[in-house]
Amino acid sequence: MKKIKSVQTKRDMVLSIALFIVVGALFLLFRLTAFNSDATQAYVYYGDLSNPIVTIDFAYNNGEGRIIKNYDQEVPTEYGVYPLIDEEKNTITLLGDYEIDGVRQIVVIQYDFAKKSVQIIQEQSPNNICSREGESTGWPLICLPNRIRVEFDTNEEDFTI
Amino acid sequence: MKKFIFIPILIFMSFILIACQEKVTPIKVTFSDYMYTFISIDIKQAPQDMEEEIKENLEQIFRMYHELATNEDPLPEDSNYLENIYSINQKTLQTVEIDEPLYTMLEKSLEYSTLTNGHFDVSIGKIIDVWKNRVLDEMTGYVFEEIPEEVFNQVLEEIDQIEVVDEPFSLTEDSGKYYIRINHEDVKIDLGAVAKGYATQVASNYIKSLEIENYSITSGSSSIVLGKNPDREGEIFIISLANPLRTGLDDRSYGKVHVKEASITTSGNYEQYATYEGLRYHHIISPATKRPMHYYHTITIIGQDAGLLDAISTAMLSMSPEVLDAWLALNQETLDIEVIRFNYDGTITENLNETELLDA
Repeated sequence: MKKIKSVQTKRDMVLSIALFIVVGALFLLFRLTAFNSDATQAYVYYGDLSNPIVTIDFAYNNGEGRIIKNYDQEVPTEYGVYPLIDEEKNTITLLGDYEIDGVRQIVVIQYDFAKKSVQIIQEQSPNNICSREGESTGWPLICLPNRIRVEFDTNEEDFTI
Repeated sequence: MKKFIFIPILIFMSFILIACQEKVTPIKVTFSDYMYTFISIDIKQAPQDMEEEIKENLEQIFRMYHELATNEDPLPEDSNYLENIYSINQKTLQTVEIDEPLYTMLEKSLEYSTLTNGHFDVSIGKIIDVWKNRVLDEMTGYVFEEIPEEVFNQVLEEIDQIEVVDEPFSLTEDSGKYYIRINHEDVKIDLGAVAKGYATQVASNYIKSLEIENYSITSGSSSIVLGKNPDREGEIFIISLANPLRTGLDDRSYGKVHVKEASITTSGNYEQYATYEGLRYHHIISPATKRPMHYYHTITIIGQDAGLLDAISTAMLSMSPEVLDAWLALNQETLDIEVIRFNYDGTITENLNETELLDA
């Protein structure tokens, strides 16, 4: 009886490990392929607004890239003016909705024209989910407590002339 | 039981490993210091041991043609070249020895001038300067603004003082040495409309000489040379055609074409212009009228030689539709080119053979 139980436990372990590997492999495959097309532009949104505050134009001049600030973020005057765009550090800073001691926190987005990628390098939130997403070349980055998101436009065109 | 569990694992792991193997990192070279534009070269399958050599040679090509063709700066002090366009322009009416690569490019420029019945002319640099300095200068001009009437009239007065010469310069070869003589004081050579395409074609010829088929070279947003694209069915590249009348994010392209093993070039009026009485005044000047013309917003050409395409797309922008139709009737087949015109009234005229203009 004991022997049968031991075999069953072993089988359960093997099955669990196998399932873990399969699920892990599927997740990896999904991340590698589902959003791996070259992005032409990425858009930075705040709140429910459908117009992006900033456009990261990876395709401009066929790879040179440029940042287009479409309009100022609406924030209380005591916080100053956002977004802040630093073209030397390749960062865009917005004011998030998440508050610590009643003070709204910033979200810093870093872009890379060569890699056509974007990542959130600084943000405050309970789980830091969006900064833990790492560098994205296609999948959206959503900072929910801060109500800031980055979405990609992955047109099929290789070049623009 | 164990065997059955491991079979799907093996399949998935193999799939992932195969996928990883396909994602070969291409040789990617970018230059921002040459030809006043951003140059990006993507080679998909270069021999790994030649990576550094290829990068160096490609940079050498663009650096050389930039240094030789610029009319803005003298040659660097440690340069190995004899003269460049900047220094030649300072030596009007003198015979000056030049290097063979510059001689060949100037010789080609004269060929293109003859081919286009003078609609392409590298000798009108002084007229181009007036438009650029008085109207299109980013700091002091009227880019995307209306030109004041007084300034517009002053510009016309100034350019009308400058003569367009029939034989602007002479090229001679003697005992393996190469010479140029600028024949008139109103001549200033400006290779801006050909040097970028010419150098891009030389770079493409170099890549092809290595028997590399899968590559792309983009020189700014106006000159592209393409090999095969192994990542897409049919080995094609998809090229989006920029809408010169775009108003927002949704209408940035007016169409697209599939291109493989060819060059594609666009000349247009939309990247930098000023307006006067509703018309766009841009940087491409007709040698016949000394003014930018308003027949088309863009001319896109598909062909085999980026240097030729650069020159003739510039020339075509100054040809009326009737003149261009007649010119194409004579030359399109011989030159093996296809043309898409975005006319000034917003309509499109296609002179295409195999290529199809697809919806955006």
